[in-house]
Amino acid sequence: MLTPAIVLLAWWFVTPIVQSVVLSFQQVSKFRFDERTFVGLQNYSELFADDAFRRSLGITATFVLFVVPAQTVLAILVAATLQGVARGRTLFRTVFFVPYMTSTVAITTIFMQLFVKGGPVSSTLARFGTPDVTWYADTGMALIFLVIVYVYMFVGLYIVIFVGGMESIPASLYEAATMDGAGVVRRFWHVTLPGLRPYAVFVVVAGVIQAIQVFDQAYVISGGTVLGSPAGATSTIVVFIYQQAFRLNAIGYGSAATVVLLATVIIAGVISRRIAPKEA
Amino acid sequence: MHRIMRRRGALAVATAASVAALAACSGGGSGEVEDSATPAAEETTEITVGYAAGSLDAYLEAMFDRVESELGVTVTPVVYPTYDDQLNQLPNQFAAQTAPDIILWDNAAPVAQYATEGVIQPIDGLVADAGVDLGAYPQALVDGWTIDGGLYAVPSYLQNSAMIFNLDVLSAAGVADVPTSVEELGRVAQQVKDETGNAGIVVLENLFHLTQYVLAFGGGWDYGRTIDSAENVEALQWLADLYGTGAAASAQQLGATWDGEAIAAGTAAMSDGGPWYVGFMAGSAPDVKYEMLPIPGADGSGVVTTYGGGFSINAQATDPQTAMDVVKVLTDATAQEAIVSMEVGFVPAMTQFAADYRGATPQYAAFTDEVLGSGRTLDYPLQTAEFGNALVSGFQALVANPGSTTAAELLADLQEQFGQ
Repeated sequence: MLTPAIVLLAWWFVTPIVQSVVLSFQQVSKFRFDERTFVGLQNYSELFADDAFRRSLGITATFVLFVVPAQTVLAILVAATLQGVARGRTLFRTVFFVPYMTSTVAITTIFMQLFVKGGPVSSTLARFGTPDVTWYADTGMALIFLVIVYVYMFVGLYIVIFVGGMESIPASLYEAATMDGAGVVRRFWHVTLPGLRPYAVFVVVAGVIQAIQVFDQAYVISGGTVLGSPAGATSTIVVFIYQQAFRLNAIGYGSAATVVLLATVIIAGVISRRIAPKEA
Repeated sequence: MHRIMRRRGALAVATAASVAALAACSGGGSGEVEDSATPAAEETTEITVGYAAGSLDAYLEAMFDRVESELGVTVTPVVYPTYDDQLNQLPNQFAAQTAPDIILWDNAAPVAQYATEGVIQPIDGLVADAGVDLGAYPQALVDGWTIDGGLYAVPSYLQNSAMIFNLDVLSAAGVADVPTSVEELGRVAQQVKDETGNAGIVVLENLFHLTQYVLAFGGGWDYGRTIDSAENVEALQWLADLYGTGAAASAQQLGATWDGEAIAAGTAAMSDGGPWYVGFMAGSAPDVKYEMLPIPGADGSGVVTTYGGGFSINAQATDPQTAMDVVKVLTDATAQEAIVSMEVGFVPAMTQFAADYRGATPQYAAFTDEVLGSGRTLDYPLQTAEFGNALVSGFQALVANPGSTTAAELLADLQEQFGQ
């Protein structure tokens, strides 16, 4: 009974992965996919010697290190604030969720207008010491811009998860804490946060896996010039893969980078499972 | 319209497939049906033509109708949403053997790479048999489509590089006369920055646009033989230095998606460009006064790159002769005349019709037959896409970290990687 579904799933999910792994050991002609040569680990050895690839790993790691804590903390704080809102909580929750459902291109384009040199946000922030430049075109600011756009888009999803988590915490715990004289901050610290632990673990794990794969926003900001612009400052690992496989048609090389990405995501997932509490 | 045509094409394929399937299912049927169906199938030859959606849409549809009525050949358009999409999808289509029989593109694309890989075919023989007169085109245009002695397209329309001057911004900066040499260009760019705060020069950072400055300095790539020439080094360092003082800026830095937006908005005074500005400025900034002239060269003479769109034939085309017949109709005098009469915004490739365009377009007056005929060609290194990426990224790094590297080091590195 289940056999067709299993076969379909295997074909749908496993085939591309197997194909990528096979391609990663081959040199594929740019213009003739049927002309392939087995090259063993050559693609991998070249990959790890490639400055651009190593740089993309570094950029992705930096991106994840900024994005995940930022979106997790922000989501908890907003969710906790919403918890205290008596009326219109659903409306606010929807408002925060809208960016997640909106087109990445549209949001990135709007943010580009906000962060252009002399633009509303960049010029305001310039009063506090940031350089008044077009953020996405500046090598020092482009990755920060990417982090801001990304967190804005995804934080709504995690707010909804945390709000759901808070609603699962028994009201009796808050009542008991209040009777013991705990204020808002102590209730948040000693009741809300421990209660949210499994949700926080999920958000961090999902956030890491998702952030590793950032691509769309970087693709949009490099429109008209080379991917990863300016000067490779936004060349994340997926940007690197896309560049190699689809712009430069280095299918074997791009597949090797894809396998590295896949391994990274799996390792991140396994480590997270190991360190996560059982209830998460 | 093209979507409809594509859907019609898909419908036709689906119908044909259904018919074929039905025919296969009725394999034991009478031979009479098969005999009557076979000649009908052979009567209609289908040729696919790939091009990017845009201002040529209506023009090409009209030309395809001509092909069908004059040759009895069905043209199935393969329309890419944008030209970038076309360039990104073509390699995969060639690899998957699904590329169109005929491709309309311009030779700012990595044509040499496709030619040396053998995925488009040299058409000298077909052109000679078809009686196409290559003398009707500017020599530089024919040269641009000639790779290692082989011709790889019949030209359709002409493009050329130019310098665009926003006269309003220049006037606000106190510049009365447009610069006529690179030295003046740099000086005026700085004056614009100092007097108005706007960028003097805006650059869309890609291979084509950086190449224009290299050519202005008398340099060039020569298919990878001269990447690190003294002229190329001087050009890139000059441009990077202008970035350093704010006299030049990228389109991105100015919040524009391409240079034309910055020129139209008045956030920059000058940019390399081409005839495509004529239609854009008329539609987007009709009140802005601008001038289009050859790019000021190092020796004070004007420099243009003459290139353009042409129809290439896929090396895997099943019927190259018919494909050539179609190309001949798509590029004949009637087709050239229609480029002007249908006001598609392109310059016809044939010299005589380019003159008609010039007569109807005052902004294009400076680009005489002589100027276009002696224009430079792009001659990109053979690994064009890889070279373009490395050049642009390297240039951006040069601009972002002045002092940490130089144009000479960048180009020496690129010569080693992509040189012939």
